Amino acid sequence: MKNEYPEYNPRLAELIELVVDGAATNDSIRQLETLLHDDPDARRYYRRVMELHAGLRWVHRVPRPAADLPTQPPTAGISAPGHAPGIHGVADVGDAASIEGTPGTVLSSAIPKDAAPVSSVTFLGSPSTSSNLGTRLLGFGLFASAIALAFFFASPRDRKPNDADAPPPAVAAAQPVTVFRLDSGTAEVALANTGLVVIQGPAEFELLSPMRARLITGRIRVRITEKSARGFVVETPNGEVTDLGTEFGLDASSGKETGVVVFEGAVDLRVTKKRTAGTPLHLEHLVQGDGVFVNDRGDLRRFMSFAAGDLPAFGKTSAPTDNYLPVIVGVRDNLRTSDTKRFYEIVHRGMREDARAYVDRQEHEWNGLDARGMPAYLIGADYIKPFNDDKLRRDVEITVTLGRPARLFVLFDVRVPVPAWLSKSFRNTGDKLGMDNGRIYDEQGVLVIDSRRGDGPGQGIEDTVCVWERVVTEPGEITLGANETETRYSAMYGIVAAPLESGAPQSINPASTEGRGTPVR
Amino acid sequence: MTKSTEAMPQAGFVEAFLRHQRSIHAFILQFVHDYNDAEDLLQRTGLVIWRKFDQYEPGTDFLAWARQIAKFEVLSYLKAASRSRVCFSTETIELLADESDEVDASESHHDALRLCLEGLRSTDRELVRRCYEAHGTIQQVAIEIGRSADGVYHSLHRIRQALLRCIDRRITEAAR
Repeated sequence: MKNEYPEYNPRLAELIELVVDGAATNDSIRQLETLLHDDPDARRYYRRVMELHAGLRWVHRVPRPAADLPTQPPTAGISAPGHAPGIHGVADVGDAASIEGTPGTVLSSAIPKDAAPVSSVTFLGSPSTSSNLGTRLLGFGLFASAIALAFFFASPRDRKPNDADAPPPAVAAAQPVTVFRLDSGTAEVALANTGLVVIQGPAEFELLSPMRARLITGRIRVRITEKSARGFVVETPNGEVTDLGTEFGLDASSGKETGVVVFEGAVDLRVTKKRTAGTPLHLEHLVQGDGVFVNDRGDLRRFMSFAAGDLPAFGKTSAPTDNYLPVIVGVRDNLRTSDTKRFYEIVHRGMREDARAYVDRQEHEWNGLDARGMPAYLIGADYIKPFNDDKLRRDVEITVTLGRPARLFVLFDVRVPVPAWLSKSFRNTGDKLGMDNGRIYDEQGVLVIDSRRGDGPGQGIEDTVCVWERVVTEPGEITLGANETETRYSAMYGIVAAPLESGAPQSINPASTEGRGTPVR
Repeated sequence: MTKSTEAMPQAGFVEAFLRHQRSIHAFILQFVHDYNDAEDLLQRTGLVIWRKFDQYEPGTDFLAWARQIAKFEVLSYLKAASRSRVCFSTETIELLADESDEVDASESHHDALRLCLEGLRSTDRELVRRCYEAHGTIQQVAIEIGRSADGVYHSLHRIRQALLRCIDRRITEAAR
């Protein structure tokens, strides 16, 4: 192994270092070439160093989107599909913090001098209701002595532009804002030269420095929009999450463990606390579609699913709101954390043209097959984003929990033979839907296939699915099987559920107990 | 959309390319030492592979096939850029490329690297991060951290040697 290390030829090592450090000259390159031509060991050593160099580049790689990617407004990535009203309209007020709505508190005590500057803060109110005014007032009372803020009690959603009767939003004095406490509702914090953080109350969140923050409790959703902010770290009670160019969510609401979900890109999760002496730091690399909970001991368990839709950040459960009783309230599968770390995303009332189809694909979208659009009964329905990587698994069973009577739809790839579990318990409606795969990126966010995404029904369709339906007359669990195909040229099926209204089609198995908790398989 | 699914087995391409892109990236970096150039070439190679994927024979060595494409892309690129770039001759590239199946950019190698990075002192790890993440010059990093450029070069050399030995040790241990 003497030739594995530079001691045997210091000049060779020096010349290679010049290459790696970007300091090579024509002369040094020619000298290096001479050594490489003459000596197989020199070439072997060169490859080893370059392999390490490439590995380090890869680990610290900055994703580069295609040059002609459309620039999305920074809030677009944080908005959940089908949900926009509360998110948009962030006021950019420069150094001041614009405070709209009321449920939260921004504290200015213990401000690190070098904390990330806050461009704007917008309280979005509770997505669920405007009736929690008491909670808001309690929150205000608790912290009123610590701050000097005026409040604007009308929900931003309810307020009309230029409403003469509405009081104007209050603007806090210009000052660094580093500690956020929300009793309820949601606040969006724009960090200068960094990105956006959506804080979902109850929560406490601190900005420690330009590249470091801490989530003490609650849920946040972070989108890093600036390249220079890659490497942004969020400390949590159970570990540190380092951004690698991404959008991710953190859930520290339980007090026992912290959930980490990656919506786009990748993060590194480091377990940092309460390790046994001598135990190495645990590092978990998570990519788009991955979700885990981590506890104090560094144990990981899968973050099985979460709900989006009306939630600007994300929620672990699908709780009813004043306005909506969810149809899909849960989803799980039979895979263990050792098999997969992927999560399911439930999108309430999110099915529509151009709805994102999978958690592990950035651009795959559901669309009507042609200009007539998707069937009306699907629009506005709850749906689940599964992971397309599951399409070839034969062992997966997905259990959907329905919170109310429903029309349950499976969107099944026409290229795949119909499995028995589907034909037995569902009926083929004869309707079809399209999928627009769009551009495909790797886990680093680098473009792999430059296939432009279409906009709206009938545009950019590459794959076709059949709509299969099952009427479920009672709330309960329905278990679905695998694609049961070996062809790679296939897509994982989609799952949609709409409320069962009067006049809906009759169940194909109305007497069955399968809709009340018994798997169909 | 540009291609039909039947005409282009897109899913197969994605799987194969995602599985091997790190190796292709490492292959390109042997010859193209500028970070941005290497990234451009990786993307360009991916697109060429995509266009030619119907010529790939399933069951054969995808990585070897992809490396051939990458090599032609590298040679083509360096031919155009040779006046403005410090780069190897075609002969050297051919020589190294012929032996490139010895390059180990496998999962186990990558995992070992990550673990070894974690094992570095925090100051060393931070220095590596600064030098590799920002893609700036060593001189820029040296100014940022208040050290001499020579000192940073020396530290990086020491860290890389430590990482090489650590990776060897971990791979050897894993193979036992």
